[in-house]
Amino acid sequence: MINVLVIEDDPAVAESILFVLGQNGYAACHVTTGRAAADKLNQQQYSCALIDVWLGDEDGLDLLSRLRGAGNDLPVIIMSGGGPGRTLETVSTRADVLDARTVLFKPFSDGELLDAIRKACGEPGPADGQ
Amino acid sequence: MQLTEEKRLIQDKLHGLQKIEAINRFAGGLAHELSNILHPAGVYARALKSNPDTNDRDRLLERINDAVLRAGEILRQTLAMAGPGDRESGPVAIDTLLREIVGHAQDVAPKGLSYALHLPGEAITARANESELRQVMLNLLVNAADAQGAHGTVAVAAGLSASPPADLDVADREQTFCWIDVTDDGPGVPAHLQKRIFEPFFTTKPGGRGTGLGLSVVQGIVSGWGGGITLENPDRDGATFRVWIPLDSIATEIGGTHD
Repeated sequence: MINVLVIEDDPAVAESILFVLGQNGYAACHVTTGRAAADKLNQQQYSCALIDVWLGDEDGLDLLSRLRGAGNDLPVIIMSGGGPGRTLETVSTRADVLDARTVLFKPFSDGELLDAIRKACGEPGPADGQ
Repeated sequence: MQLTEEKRLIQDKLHGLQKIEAINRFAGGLAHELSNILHPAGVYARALKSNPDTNDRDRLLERINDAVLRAGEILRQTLAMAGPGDRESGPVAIDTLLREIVGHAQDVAPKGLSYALHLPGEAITARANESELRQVMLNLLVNAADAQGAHGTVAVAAGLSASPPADLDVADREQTFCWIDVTDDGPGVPAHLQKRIFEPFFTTKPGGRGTGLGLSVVQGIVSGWGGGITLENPDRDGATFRVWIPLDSIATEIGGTHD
């Protein structure tokens, strides 16, 4: 079963993402900080991770950079809704350099999310609708 | 003479660049907030469309409504920050206004929360806009009350003839300022957050409670008067926010009376 680690500090966004994952039969674990994410990754295997860029005090791309630096090659999907000094281009470029599979810009459709997860986890089949 | 002129031009240019930087940062912050609000609303709207009779219907509709209301609150605060741009500054009797505002805050305060007002013996007449100053005080008092869990004492004080710190960007350093302090007895502002608390959309309030615009609104308003805002006691518990406002020169020259 696909098991997704969701790193998102906004409770409303996290709830909506867990809602979509749950409706589509994916297991998910939600944390709000880079430290909690690192702890989870040490304890358990995940199929992929969804990382938000603006995590309050932290930068989700810095977290991804640390993971890559530590040799972690988990498939990662980056989510961004902008933020001070974070244009679509700067986020996409850095995500690409850090080998993120997809960058999703909020608000994104359920289909885009499911498609990104399937691709990241190497699952065949198109996302349904939207 | 030439040097003074050159210095002024450079300062104007720097001021302009800082404004552009501030607008860029604000636009990024606004995009982030609104996309975080819109995303769940879209998810739940699609879920209701594909399954209108879900047992979750009421909860999902409530989430969508929450998102609309929250976006509305952010837009109102944004408008308060932008302001009409043509609000005139004039003489404002700070001591009289503070007595009224603090008295009103006390009237509506929950049990256990009180306000203390400390004013100098003399009248203070500043150059500001009264309705904007009410907004400034409302935002600071709400923050102070929140910081100490709506109990204990929030202290408000005012004083005359002080110089703003050298690193505060005020329009005219030569003029005389008065200050208004709002002090809470909450946990204070941790060192690593002190630079960020005036950033738009930055909040330490728990999820969904603050828009993160309160201090930005205050900063926008007071800089419009040629004043500024500082955090005064960064190294100990409790926070004091100090608003610097230029004194009204005419009222000051005739002896500081305003009755």
